[in-house]
Amino acid sequence: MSPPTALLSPLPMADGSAQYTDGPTTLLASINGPIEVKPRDEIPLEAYLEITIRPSAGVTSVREKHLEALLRSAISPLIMRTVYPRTLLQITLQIIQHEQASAACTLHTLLASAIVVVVLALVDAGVPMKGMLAAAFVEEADGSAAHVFGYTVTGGGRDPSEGLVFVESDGAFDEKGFVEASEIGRKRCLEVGELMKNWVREKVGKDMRYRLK
Amino acid sequence: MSLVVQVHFPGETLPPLEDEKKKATFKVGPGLTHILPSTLIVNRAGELNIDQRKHTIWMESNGKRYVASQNDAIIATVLRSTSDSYICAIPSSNSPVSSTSQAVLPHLAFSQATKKTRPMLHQGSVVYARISLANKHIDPELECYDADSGKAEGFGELKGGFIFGVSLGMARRLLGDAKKTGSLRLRQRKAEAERRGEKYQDAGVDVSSGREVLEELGESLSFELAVGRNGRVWVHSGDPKTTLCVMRCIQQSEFLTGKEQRQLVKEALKALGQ
Repeated sequence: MSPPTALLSPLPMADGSAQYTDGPTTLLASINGPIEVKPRDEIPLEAYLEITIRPSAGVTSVREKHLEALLRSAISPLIMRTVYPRTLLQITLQIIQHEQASAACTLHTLLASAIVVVVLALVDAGVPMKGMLAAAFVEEADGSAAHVFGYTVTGGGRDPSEGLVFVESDGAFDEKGFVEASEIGRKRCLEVGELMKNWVREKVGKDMRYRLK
Repeated sequence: MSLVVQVHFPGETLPPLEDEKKKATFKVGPGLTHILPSTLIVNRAGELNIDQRKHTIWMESNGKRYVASQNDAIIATVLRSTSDSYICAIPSSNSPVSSTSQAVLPHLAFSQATKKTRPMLHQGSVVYARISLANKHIDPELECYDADSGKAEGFGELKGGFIFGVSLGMARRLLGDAKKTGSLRLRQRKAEAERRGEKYQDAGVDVSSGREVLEELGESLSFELAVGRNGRVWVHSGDPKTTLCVMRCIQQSEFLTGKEQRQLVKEALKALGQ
């Protein structure tokens, strides 16, 4: 399988955006904020986080709403929301392409890619963050269970192995299987993390290109 | 010729500051979180800048959404007038006026304004103003005069002309920030080379100011220009063709090197028939 690819700032009108392709999955995330918030959603000392996921076809269903909730639990601890109180931070994720390998794992493969693309878009937008999160999808050998692991690639503990901050599992598994899967997940996360850093470096390099003669 | 930018990522803890004179207090700028007593954590991906002379430290990165910060000169749009002040919108690089943060510009915050003689601004008027108060909990306040002299010094209503957006990094470059930080980095690299006992070799980096496009345009065309730190540029010239040429050149030179910018302007001027 070819390594994942990403593009930062593909959308000129959004404050920050990223497109990410991993195998059959292509996602596009955009960030707008801090912007004016509806009085109903206003939080006195924090920014309000609005996450919207749009499916590739049809209208938003329970599946997208569930994914939004999972994504929120992974992303919101990363963002320093007190920096912009009484504002709105809008995160929109468009599923461009997603192949349904098996119905059970669809959500999990999507979740791992969604976390990566949203973190990239947040970094692109310059939203104040406590760290960068990388996520990976791991399926157990017999296909009985699927996991998504999220490790912090920067801003975690001193040792990268300390950085497990997000787990979402589905299916039947025991402790041994989980530990094995988490080890694979950690390796994949660190790989994805390095790629993410490179994409950001590329983007900053492009922004600073004017310094050349 | 290659550009090496050392990028720091959110969450990275910076090594303790090397202070030449000790005791000096550093001012912590955007992109960094200060945790007492002296830990600095990066919260925005970008390049770290340290000015040992002015004792400042900040993260340099490009962006599109402007957040008000004190003493920034910005281009704002008047929304409406109240009994003692104008309510203005501070647009960012790409945003329409309606979705942006609001600011207060008192009627008396103009040079030589009194209760009887004050500039009449209407809805949609554009002003070049300085942010006199910025706090995350309250709306920012604006002033249209120089804080030191009390004179207008270019602040005030921008009459006529044309407005367009550029990225925040580009706006700062047009205002000459890149020239300052560029010479800062050059000095640092020279000091490092000296410390290693080598002779400094010019690699062709940081010699360009990032606003060659303006220098080149200014030589052949006559126009007025105002750049706001909120990523808005105002151009005024007698001829719409000239105005549009200036806009196109500035917008297209975002990712170009100094030489390429000059080339772009030359071609644009040729097309304009100058």
